[in-house]
Amino acid sequence: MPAGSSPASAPFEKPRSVLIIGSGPIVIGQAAEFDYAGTQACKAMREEGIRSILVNSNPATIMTDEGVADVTYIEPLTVDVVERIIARERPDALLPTLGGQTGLNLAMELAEAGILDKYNVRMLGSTIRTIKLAEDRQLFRDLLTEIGEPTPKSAIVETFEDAQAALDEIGLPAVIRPA
Amino acid sequence: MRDANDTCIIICNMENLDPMGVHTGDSIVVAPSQTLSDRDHQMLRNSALKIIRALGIEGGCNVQFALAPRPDVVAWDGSDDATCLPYHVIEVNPRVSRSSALASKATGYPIARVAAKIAIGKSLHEIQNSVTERTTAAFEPALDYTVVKIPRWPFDKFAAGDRHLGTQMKATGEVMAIDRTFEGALQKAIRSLEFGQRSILWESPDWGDHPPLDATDERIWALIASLRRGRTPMEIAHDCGVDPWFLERFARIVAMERRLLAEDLTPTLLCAAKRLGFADRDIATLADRLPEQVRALRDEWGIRPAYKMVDTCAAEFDAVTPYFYSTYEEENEALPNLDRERMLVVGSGPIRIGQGIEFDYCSVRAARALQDAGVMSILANSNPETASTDFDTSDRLYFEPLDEESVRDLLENEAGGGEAPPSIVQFGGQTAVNMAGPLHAAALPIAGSSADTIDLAEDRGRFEAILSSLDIPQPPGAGVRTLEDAFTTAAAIRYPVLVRPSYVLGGRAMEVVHDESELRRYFGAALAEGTGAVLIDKYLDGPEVEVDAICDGNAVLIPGIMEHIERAGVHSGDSMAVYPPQRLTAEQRDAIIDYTTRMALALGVRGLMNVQFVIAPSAQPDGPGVFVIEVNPRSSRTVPFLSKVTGVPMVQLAVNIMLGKSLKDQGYEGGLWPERDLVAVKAPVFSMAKLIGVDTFLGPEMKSTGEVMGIDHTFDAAVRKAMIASDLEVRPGTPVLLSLARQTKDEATPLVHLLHAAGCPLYATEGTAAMIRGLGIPVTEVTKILEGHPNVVDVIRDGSVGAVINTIEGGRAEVRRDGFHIRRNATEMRIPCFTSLDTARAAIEALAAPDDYSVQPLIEYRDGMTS
Repeated sequence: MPAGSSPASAPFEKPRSVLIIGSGPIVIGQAAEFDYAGTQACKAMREEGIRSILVNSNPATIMTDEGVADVTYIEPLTVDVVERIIARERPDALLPTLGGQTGLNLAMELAEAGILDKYNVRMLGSTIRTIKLAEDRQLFRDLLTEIGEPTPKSAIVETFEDAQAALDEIGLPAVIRPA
Repeated sequence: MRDANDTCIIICNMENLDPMGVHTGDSIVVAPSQTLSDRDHQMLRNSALKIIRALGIEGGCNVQFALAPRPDVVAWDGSDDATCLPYHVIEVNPRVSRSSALASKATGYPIARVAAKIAIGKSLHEIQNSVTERTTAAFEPALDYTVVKIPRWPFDKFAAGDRHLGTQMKATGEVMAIDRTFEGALQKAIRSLEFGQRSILWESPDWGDHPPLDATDERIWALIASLRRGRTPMEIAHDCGVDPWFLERFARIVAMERRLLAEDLTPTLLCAAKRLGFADRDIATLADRLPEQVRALRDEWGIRPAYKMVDTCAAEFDAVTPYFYSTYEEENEALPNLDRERMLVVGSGPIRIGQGIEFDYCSVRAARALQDAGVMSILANSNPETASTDFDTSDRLYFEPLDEESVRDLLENEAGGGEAPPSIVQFGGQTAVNMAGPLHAAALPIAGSSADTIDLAEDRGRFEAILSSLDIPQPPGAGVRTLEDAFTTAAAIRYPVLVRPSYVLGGRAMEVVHDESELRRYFGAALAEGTGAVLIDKYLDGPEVEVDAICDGNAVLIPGIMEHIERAGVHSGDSMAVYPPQRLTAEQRDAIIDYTTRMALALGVRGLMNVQFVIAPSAQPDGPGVFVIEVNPRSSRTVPFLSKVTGVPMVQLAVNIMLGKSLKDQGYEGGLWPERDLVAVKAPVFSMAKLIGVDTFLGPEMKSTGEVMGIDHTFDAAVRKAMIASDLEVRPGTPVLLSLARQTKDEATPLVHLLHAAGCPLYATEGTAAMIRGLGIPVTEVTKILEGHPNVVDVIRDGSVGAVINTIEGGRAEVRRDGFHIRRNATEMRIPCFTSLDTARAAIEALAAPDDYSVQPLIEYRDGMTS
């Protein structure tokens, strides 16, 4: 079975209420596309008869407008705030994949802090394992090697000396980015 | 997309015009891929399916590949790879992304909606395709057109920024255009950018014989300019790695330019030029005519765009969602629905600094208000990221450039030989309101405030005359054309003065100047840029206040007054705004309501209006001291904020006024809407860490890209939440670096005491340290950058300090180079950096406030419920 997939026989219960985390303020790299995506997600929940609970810190969005989600919080996107929302609203599930990197990171923090387990909130869309596989460059590279997909030569380094050694192997030009 | 049954489909394949090394968000993107062979395409498709399965994603995912270039262009050095495959996998996003928004708009396939449904357990075959309503979400979209996306970069605002593109994204937004040819889509996308007056013909005066081909925001123009200079596509491809296919397409554009320059303009030639996407304006330039004459020729010769439908299935099935693009072909698929009352909402184009998502909110709300009133909503926009261009936001969507040519063309299409539907231009920011003049001149109807009302508010001379006839004060000032007149005017109204070029709106290139030498420098620079007149106004030092108002011609409703935390001189878009105001006297409040009401009626506003005031009692000892700084005869960026905190559906009220209903008909009356028992703070958010070389100090030029809101029952709690949400929170005990300009030191004294009381260790530069010691408060003195270590930059970079307060001399940045490095380093270390003492004071006072804040649904705050 492929890594991360759920067994086909696992019973899947449709959630009654879902928490959706927005992407916060518009910054370079994270713009209006997540307002569009979050708005569509709220509409999709309504079509399915699922109660949607939305949190976003950005008041300029359509998603935080009246009538889009069933309950709307315009609050800072922090673990503390979202935990208080979860404690109050008790959603069955969390949809983490529609709020950009901000939404995804916050969902991961909530999971790691044990808050999702504490309130019995299920993560929808992608499992934590899937997200980690795709986001962690080393795990992702290992997976690609395993399935025979080519990746550029690369190295993860923490010191300048290691970087120089890696560059001898990789050659120039090279792309540098945070791991 | 993949569901739990392991059904996998590919939604869209897209190709970056820029070779690897440029962030995808900063690349020009084409869909479907244009240079891949079918074999390449199948290879990458198979790889993507293999990866989404291996990751076990249920929902959407985006895979980025680097494909080997054509061997005759660049040698591929991936041959030592064990797999010997001519591609590499670069990255996977296990979520909805910018690329998936683009793919949704490019194909009509609603990725986010389908991903959300898969997440709650639906399978692809169970989800209906809402565009066709006949097929399911398990059908792969098919395209019978070409899509081009171009990023919108902020270098018109940040001329000092480094324009080179790399792995760090710099664009704030993007535009998309659709046509039957790549050339047509590219040219329409360039027209959609609204980057000055830059058309496909633009060239930098600095380029000479060899336009630079390195990756910058200007490369597309440099590539075309190189072809104009006789270089071949293959030579250029060798130099920059752009695939020769694209360069051959550009060469066809250049060849058409030559024909338009040399040949007589015949129906055949004009038609060929339109098919390649040439704007009337560019044809006019090349064929030595006026744009209006080219349009008249098109009318005479019957050269009109046809509109085609984006249907997800290349016309294999009938589609029900009317989403259209223009092209110069036969068979118009967008026949007007003449049986219904219709209105056009002109959107706001790409997200850029000064025109953000707020205007998309207004456009979406306007479309919905029309539908609620039983009127067919038609929406035009060029932005693929937004909710306004979602397939079910309006009754009919035109994905088109928001320029005069395209908007007139689509209105003529909607007219169907009769009267065109009215256009609503007050919701799409300056982009839409700028259409008022051209539409009026073309005898096309405008809903709401007339073109003349808009001109009255925007033309300085006419506006001054109205204000003076109403006896409403504004800061004294004048427009001047010579330095002598500038000196005379400034001396008469006394320094400091606010200076700006007369033709630019939105605060660009505006400065506060304090003396003759600064005025001389500004004037010299403005003249060098070719600015005609310069406006000089008295700078009044006081709090700024802003209102949005709705007028039906008889009554004027003011949903709320917002008070800025920063004093005048900081652009209103970069200020923190507080609702309701905390410091206004009853007399000032009454004056604001009275002035707003009388101005809206005198200007003839129908719909929304925004007014900015400065409160300066000392400048008017015998009156309320309220001065009008600016009036915008349109929806402003505070409309969504104010609508949400007051509960007044501002856009809907304005749209209904355009449809002939009064405020009273809608259950509202004139005057200030009762203030809610809550406090809401809107705070700006900046993207400065990503823009190397840009100074971060707050001034009259807007720099922020987004906003957050803190809402609570008390002012301190609301400010604290706004600070947390905008990453400006300072916690008790945080070490703070202070470097203060001479004239701000006295004012900063209470702040220093507050910091000390909150247990914050203080670091300071020499002069500031002396001032702090003088207050009897301990301080660590740090040296200037060139005077050894540890200096001001060291304590920021090594984490010794967790916040910075840095004010600038004379309101201008470049005089203190150390200051620039302090601000840049703080920004890059992502620690709060305050350049306005007003913002700093709010942050520090919030720090001293009780630690708790509320977390409640928005509606509970509005209803005055506590948790």
